[in-house]
Amino acid sequence: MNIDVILKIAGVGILTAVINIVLKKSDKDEIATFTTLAGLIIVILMVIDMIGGLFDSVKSIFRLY
Amino acid sequence: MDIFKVAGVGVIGAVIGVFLKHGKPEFAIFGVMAAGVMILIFALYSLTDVIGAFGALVEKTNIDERLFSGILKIIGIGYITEYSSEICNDMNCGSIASKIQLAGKITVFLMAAPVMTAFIDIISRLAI
Repeated sequence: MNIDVILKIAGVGILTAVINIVLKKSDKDEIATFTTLAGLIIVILMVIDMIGGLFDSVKSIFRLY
Repeated sequence: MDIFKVAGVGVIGAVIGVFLKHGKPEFAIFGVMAAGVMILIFALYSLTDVIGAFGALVEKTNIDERLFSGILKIIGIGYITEYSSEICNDMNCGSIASKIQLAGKITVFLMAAPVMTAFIDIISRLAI
């Protein structure tokens, strides 16, 4: 388990924020919402994968079938 | 279990959570969740050998297997319930957190019933 996942999430968050600001300045608000959505989906997939791993290991260790 | 690794991950997760809360509040919850998952997995893997030792102990003293696995299940459920309800508390939805804890309590209560009966069987056998 290494730390880069958290940093990746932070990176995606900051990138989305920057893109949003740029798009809002060039008054393309609908594209800004799409980029936020895309960033959110990418981060959700990453975190869901991690939580799935956590729940599997808890299930296997505590014999919670 | 390397406490320094856990402390480092926790602090980095908190910093990123606060940092993202300013720019993009939706991403803050994911940073916090990721840090929580990593810390839990660290703690979990150090638990495995303790549980193995207890399992061997249970077999040696031929206590009822259901008793031990029941207790393990209860600990596991407590583990997950606590994790998810704290995440909800972090994102200040206290109502969801209390719902999760209520569900956890009910599940633990359902799990505890067979353990209780097994326990009483053992005591009655000892008493006769």
